[in-house]
Amino acid sequence: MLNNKGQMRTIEAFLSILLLFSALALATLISPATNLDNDNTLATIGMQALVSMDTDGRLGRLINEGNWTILANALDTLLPVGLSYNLSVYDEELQPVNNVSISNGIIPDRNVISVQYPCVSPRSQGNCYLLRLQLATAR
Amino acid sequence: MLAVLVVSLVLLSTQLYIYEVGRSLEEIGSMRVNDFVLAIKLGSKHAVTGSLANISAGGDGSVLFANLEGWASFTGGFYQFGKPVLNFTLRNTLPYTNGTHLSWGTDGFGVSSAYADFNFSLSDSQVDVQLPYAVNVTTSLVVEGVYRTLEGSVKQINVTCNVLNEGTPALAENLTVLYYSGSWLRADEQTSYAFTDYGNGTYLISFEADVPEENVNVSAQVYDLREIYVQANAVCTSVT
Repeated sequence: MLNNKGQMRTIEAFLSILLLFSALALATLISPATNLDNDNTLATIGMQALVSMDTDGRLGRLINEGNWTILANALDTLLPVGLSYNLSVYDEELQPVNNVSISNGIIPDRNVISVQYPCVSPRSQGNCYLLRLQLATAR
Repeated sequence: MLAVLVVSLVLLSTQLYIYEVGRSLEEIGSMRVNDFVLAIKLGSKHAVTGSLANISAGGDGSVLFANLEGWASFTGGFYQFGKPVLNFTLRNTLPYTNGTHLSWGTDGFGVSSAYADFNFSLSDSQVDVQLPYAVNVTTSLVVEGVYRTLEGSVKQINVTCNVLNEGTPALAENLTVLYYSGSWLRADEQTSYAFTDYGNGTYLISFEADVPEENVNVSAQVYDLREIYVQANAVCTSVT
């Protein structure tokens, strides 16, 4: 009488290998095409903070008045805790407007993203500004 | 065999999770484009608002076109998500002329308004946005007055002012009431002057004044919180 146990083990091992490789192949197929870093999330947070300040014209008004402290306080409130930011304001000729730093600390060297936002003052002069908000996760 | 099956399932579910996270990041990317488009719309509104503030305070009517042209040119050089193009036309149908309409009547109703139509496009290999929109900024003022004769030509005058932004009640930054007695005089220079702010865009101004004229004419001059000026004159009605 022949013992078939050894053959069964061999077939089982083949099937297991086949299943594992099939899973690996399928997993590779459904891998996302996008980069999985958090840059997009940071940029969206920054953009939405600026939009919310601009909705009632407060952003352009504060820039027009050179009220950098209140602008920094507003960003402190709107941005999540743990984010470092640095805001630079430029005029239509791309000359720096803010003469003091609008920031909550040191931006780390790595993983800094930058959001650019166009803005116009709702006051009668109609001045246009370009805002560059740098964001990074604080160390 | 069972162990391999479990490992395969774990592997697949992990990849599915990463795939879903990737999809949400793509959605975040499109949200940034939406926020950029919103920034353009907000800027257009602020440019119209600032221009109307300028024109209503005595500025030249060409300020609206100049400011919108400046804004359109500024955004045109802003290549972040694609090539942005902002076109605009000023409303020229009645009652607007070159996008503005100022009517400070003697019937108790005053209006300062600006209207512009925009068309914004943003195009790139991955983005194609076509967005027509209109911006209408209107500050209105409704003035009603009543008076009661106290003694001789001295009258108790009550003036009610309603301020509106785009048809909804709005607050005033500054409100001045004048009355006519040989010339236009400020009501707040009277010792009996009382000012009540109801907090909802309605203001009641009461004062006593010597007005020999048969008709009691009052005028209200308002700057709203956007610094847009509007005024309206009214003839007070007599109450006993």
